[in-house]
Amino acid sequence: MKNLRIWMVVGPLVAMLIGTASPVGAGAKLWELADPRGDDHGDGGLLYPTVGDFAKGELDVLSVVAEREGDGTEFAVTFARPVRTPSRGAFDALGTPMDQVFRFGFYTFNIDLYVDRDRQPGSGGVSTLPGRKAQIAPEFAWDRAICLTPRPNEARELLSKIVLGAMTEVQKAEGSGGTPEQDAAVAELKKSVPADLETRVYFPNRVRVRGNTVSFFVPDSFLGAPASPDWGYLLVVTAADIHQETGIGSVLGLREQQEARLMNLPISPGSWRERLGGGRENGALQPPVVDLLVPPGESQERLLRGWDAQDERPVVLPGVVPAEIKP
Amino acid sequence: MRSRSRIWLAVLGLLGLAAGSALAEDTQKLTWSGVDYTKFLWSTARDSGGLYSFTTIPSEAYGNNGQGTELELLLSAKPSKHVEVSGRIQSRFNQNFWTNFGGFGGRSNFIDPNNPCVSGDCGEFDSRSAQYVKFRGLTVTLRPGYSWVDQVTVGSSDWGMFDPFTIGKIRYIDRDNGSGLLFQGSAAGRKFTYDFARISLPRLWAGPNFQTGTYHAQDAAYGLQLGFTPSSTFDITGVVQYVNDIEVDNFDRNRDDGRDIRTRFRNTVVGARLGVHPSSTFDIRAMYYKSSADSIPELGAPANFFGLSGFSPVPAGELSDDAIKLNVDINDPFDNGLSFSIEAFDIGAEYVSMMAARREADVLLTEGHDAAWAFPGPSNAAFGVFGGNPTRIGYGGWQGSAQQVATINVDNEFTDFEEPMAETVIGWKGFTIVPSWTIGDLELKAEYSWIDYNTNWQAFDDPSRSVTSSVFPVHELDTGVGHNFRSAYAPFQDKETKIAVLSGRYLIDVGRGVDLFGKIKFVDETDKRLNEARFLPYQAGDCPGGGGACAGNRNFYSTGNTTADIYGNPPVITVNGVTGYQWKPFDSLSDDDRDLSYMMLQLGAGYQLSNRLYGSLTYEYYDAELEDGNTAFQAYQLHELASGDHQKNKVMLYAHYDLGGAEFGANYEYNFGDFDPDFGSGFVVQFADEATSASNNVPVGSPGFRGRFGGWNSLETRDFEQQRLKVFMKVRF
Repeated sequence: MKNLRIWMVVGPLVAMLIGTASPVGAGAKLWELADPRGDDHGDGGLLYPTVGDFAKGELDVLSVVAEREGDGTEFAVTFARPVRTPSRGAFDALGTPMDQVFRFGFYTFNIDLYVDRDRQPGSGGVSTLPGRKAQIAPEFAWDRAICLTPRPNEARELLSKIVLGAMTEVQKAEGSGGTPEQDAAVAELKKSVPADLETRVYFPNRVRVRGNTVSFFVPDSFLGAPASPDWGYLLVVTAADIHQETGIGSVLGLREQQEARLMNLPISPGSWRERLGGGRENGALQPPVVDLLVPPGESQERLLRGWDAQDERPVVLPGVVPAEIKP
Repeated sequence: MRSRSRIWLAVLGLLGLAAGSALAEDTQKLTWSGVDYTKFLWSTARDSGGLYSFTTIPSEAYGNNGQGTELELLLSAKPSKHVEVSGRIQSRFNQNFWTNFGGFGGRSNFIDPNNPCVSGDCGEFDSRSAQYVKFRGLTVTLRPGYSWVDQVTVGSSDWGMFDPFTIGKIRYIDRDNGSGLLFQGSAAGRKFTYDFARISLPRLWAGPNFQTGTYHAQDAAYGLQLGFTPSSTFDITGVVQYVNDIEVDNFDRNRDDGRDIRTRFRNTVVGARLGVHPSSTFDIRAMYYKSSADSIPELGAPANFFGLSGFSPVPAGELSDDAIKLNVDINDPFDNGLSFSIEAFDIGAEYVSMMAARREADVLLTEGHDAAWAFPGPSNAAFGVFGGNPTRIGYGGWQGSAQQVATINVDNEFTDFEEPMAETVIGWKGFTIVPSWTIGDLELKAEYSWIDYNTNWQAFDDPSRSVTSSVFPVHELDTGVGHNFRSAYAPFQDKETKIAVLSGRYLIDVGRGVDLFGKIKFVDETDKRLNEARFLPYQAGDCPGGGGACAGNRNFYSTGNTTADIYGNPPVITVNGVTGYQWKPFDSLSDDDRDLSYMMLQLGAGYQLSNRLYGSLTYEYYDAELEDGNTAFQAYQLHELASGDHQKNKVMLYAHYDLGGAEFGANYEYNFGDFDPDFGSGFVVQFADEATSASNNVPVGSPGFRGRFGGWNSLETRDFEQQRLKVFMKVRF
């Protein structure tokens, strides 16, 4: 009887093995991009945080594959090392288990994918998400951005809050508003931000982690069509900051105004426990980007060094068009 | 609409460019941030000693009802580009109930070891209920800019830079309870790295008998870790841990030349970790650790553990053993979504690392045991045959499966029921294979583990000694459905465990996506325990039966040593006209046999109800058929016998609401089930009197039997029904 029970489990395992004969569930490949192994060092000097949740190679992208999957596209990003999955260790002083907080099976990285569908220079956004400290080359200006992050719902809320907060700052700086009509217009504009954001930035919540690969689904309703090899793509990997704070401390004057960061760790000179290390002195504009897909002939390190704090010039990153890459 | 998009895209651009100027400075003034943790506990178990569900620490309180708040203040500053300071002060939940009304007043006889403070009754006279805010940790990080050192850390750390087999990431109550010095450096673009630490040895638990002696101020643990990562495909790390617990030599009576010191306890672990990552398909990791430890009894370390109730984080005497582990991950080798993780492991019975991770690490791939069955009794009580020992964590136990740690110094103290439970794997050897398969939106994962034990032995592997003076602390011993989270040693063991799991997850593409999940798990475990006739306590035919008294002719397995010291013969009693033995005489090798046939079924669904609100509903069914010795064995006469059929049901509702900086969570459990005891035959059933009813919470007149130490085991079917709830709010500011 006992052996029978054991075989109730072992049986399906054997079936899995038998099932290896034929690929199942794989959609039609739309395109694939490769990235060199061992370049998870940003501009060449970036260091992983020394806290035990990171190890060299874990944020090192080797390939990105887009496949047709139902009514959308599934992107599969493969890293050099197995994706670190959340343990059941306590996330906070309340003892909240990490795997309850990070339900999607990963917690150490964010993957931004900026998509330029129309390929019209200057058409779309050239800024990256808050905290990435990079601009996108105008010829790859994006009209859709995908942000795979460990806490997508919180990230969506946070981005909305950051944008609304920034709008208020801009409004204050410009001295706009004041009349009831202007205030109403601004209020209307702010009201539209969350919905507008939903059409521009997508936070995947159909996510699978398998070994070295994380896969996430993006519906056609967001991209407008299956991910085309003729579109431009910029893929950026950052280290995830898993905590989230309100700004009450800074409002009360107890702390300095924090830079706006969307779930990513900052970079600083030296070696850090809970930040990326290896930053440059006076590196206010140094992007905390761990890995990046670049077009053939370009150097990730050179691109990520292309900022100038004195001139307040950020790095400018080009996208990649899969169809234009020769095999 | 388009113009609006352009506006906020422009705002996004401003954010990206303007960011960072605040951190551009080489220095940073003192900044503060904080966290408000508030929790609400409710349970029909009605315990209200403290605001944590579980503790085993004498004089500490536990409970499952009440409301309380912790305030945490974090400060940081950067006086120069070379120096950074961060610190933390925090209050504690402990017994700080809202109903204390600020923690004033309290009973006056608060210093009374026989009447410890619980439930906040000592008010402001006890720090645990006075709402005190305590300095928790301060860390100074120096980056002097020298080539030989990247940074020096002075003060608090969780020491997570080492590994769980040597110096594990610490969370005693907090992550910064441990303090010390840490030097970290690198060379050749971090191809070579080193970590060197001197950690002041925690006097509360880091030595024999959970203490480090009288002279603790210079006790320390040292760690050295050397890493070499020539490429992303290969890395190797060597690690050494040394613990030195010293005492003043009281035989040195000449104080004019200072005082000599002697070592009370020392522990060394030397190990290596090797990683080979040739491609995204293969990942290979190997680990080897060699430990040695030595306790000196004349300086206060125990020489042995009396009887069968010894507690200590380390066995006594001189110890030496290995821990070995090999992991191979094969990621989608057939390009069809099928991957494998394989692990072989061998953790020695005497492997000791005093600073190994005590919780929140998972050193093995296997799920291990389920945390719903944490302690020996059917209700998760320990020593439940004696009055005043009800279950602490509750009938439902903790949630999920256990994490595995390579120490008997397991720490599940001050946790709530939804937190992870850790179990020891000292002595475990075997293998685990975990295939996982993804087919579209269906993810399947399975496990098969076979576990043998280096602790399979007779008479603690030393028949020349009495079983009542072993060098091995047995903690709560090895009875019950689970194996008891910190019990690695038993006097007699011949155990084998097989674990098989099949779990699945499927996303239904409706609305925001319904996440269905489920699992079926089987555990088959056998343990013949005492399996050689020479260890039987009495000579054959010692108890004639038929109302005749036992002769008491002891059977000695070595000179002067007999298991009759723990398995004494029963007296003859007469109950309601029936005459016979009070318990079955231990006269057969099968009297203590264990045979567990265990099944767990889980079904659940989760759904993101809105951007801010997530909820899940889970049902778990447990069915355990357990033969765990009979009345001759009596669960070592210390715990409730758990032989019989157990059925447990857990209905769990979880919700999480995020309000941008304020998080709310709720965990509700409805636990119900029954236990139908089967303690065998060969004894006279007794019936509970008024005193037994009062002490053991059984009906007057209910059947049972009384054991060697006078403990009561009920023969009635037990029906369980308990509800509990934990709601929390966390605000970071």
